[in-house]
Amino acid sequence: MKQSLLATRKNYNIGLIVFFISILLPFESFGQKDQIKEGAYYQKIFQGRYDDALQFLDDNSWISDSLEKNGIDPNFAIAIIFPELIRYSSIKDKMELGGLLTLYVQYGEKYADFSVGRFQMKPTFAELLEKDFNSKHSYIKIKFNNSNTIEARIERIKRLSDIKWQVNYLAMFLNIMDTRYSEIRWESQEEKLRFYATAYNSGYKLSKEKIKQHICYNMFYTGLVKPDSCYNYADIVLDYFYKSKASK
Amino acid sequence: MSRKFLFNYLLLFTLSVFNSVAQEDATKKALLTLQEGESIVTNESCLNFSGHNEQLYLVTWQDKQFYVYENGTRKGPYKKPDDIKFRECENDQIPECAVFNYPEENYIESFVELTDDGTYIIKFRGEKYGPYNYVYHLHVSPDKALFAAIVANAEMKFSLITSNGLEQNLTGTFERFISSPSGKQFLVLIKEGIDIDISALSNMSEADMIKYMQEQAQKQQDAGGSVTQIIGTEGNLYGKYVSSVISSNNPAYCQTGSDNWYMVIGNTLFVNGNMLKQFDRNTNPSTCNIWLSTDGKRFALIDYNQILFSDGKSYPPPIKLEVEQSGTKTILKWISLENETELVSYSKEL
Repeated sequence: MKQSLLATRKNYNIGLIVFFISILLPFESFGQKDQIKEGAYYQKIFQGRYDDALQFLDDNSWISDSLEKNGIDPNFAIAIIFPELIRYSSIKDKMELGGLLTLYVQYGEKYADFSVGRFQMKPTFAELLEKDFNSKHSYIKIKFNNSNTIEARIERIKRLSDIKWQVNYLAMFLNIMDTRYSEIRWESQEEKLRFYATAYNSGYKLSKEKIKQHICYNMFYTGLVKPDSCYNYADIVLDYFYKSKASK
Repeated sequence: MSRKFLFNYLLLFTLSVFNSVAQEDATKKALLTLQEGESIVTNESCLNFSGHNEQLYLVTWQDKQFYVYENGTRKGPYKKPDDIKFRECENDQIPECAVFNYPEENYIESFVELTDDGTYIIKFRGEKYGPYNYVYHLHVSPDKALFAAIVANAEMKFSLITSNGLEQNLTGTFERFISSPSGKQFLVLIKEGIDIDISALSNMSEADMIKYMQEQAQKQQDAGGSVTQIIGTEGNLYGKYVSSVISSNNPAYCQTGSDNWYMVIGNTLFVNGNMLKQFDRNTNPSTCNIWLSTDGKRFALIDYNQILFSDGKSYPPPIKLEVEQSGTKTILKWISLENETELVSYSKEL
């Protein structure tokens, strides 16, 4: 960028504007939106980790097939968890779940605040889904053990560790959201996706108002420790959503 | 009759005494006691096995505030993680998997030569083996004294070739080669009954060929399962197994199990093809969470809610585990949190 700014006087002003916009991008959502439609902004930011996430989806096309077969829009569903695939790719080598799994199984909720697997789902999230899920309206037919016991927690951990079950939990989440917000008439698919993605990331048990409020928050990061500046979860979701739609 | 009974009794008694000597009770040491409602922030804590609580570095969480146990004292409270200077921990909490992965190098370039007619020859310690149409896998022992190779002819019929003079035809498609830690023993997995279109293969690149083979294997599996043969170092068939029980870590060699291979089918542990233990249905055995003794006769299962040893004794599950090996001795050391507050270290020989 600097080289091109210095290259000719003619390009100087344009270059300067581009330079300032690029500085503003992480903080200004209007700037991101233009970039999102081009579908390349976050791929540049997350680089290899973004590519790993794309590769994972390429290698596991059954995820998309399985969702579609069961009446779920795979583009919409996969977009919701796409930022988690990026996060998983960057922390997979540093993840130490062994001790946490043991503590969660032994003592439950107190030690439940950790994320598992590709979709980075927390045991607490799975537990809520299992309680709220209505299998009458879904292809997933199972009676969950909702007791506060070691056996129930072992079963949950085993499900969370299985990518097929993570896809099921995602489908359950969509099922619950569709039921819970069936009265809302979404102005666009983008609006609905932003809302669902934020609910997935912040907690779907939050009130509608809180979820809407959280849509604007920049809370997504890829490391183990939260850095000073974070990214907007829903923006990354939309970035992927447009890109995957464009490629079909 | 009574003499026979006495003999059997004495034999059993001797065996049980021997067994108790081989697998003694775990040694236990209390490390520290947490306060009521206090929980460990495991990712920020350094747990080690010095046996002294002065050596522990523990970050805890109680009433929405952080505490740090360092040099035997409890410091805090800290309101934010930023207020704490976290210590870097060197060791992992629990080894991810007990399975041994042999660090195979690409020996093809060093030991395989392409001939003028497009076939391949293996050149090893002055001897020539071949020609072969394809060399699929070449394994060389660490001392470079032995090799084993999976080769195929023009009809894609696979063979196992070793520097010991073994030349055995394999009936099926080569799936995987698994080496023991010493590099001198191995398993070859062969999937039976996969249809291969030889004419289609001839125009394929190496990458396309591998992809084609995987697709054929998948088709076979989708069509209702297939069978995988497990073949040993001498070309001996250990058995045929439904392919769905075979996975990237099953069968395998264990990091501590020397040249003994193991496999878990359902809730049963097999060592060298023989059943060693049928676990309770509430356990969750896999090769990744089973550690074998060097003689392959004893084991420890690291389950979610217990460590279970082959002598039948079980202990609270680890939040930190280390496996030490010295000669033929394998010692498991672990730290558990008992009754939500008691941090305890254990040590037990396999």
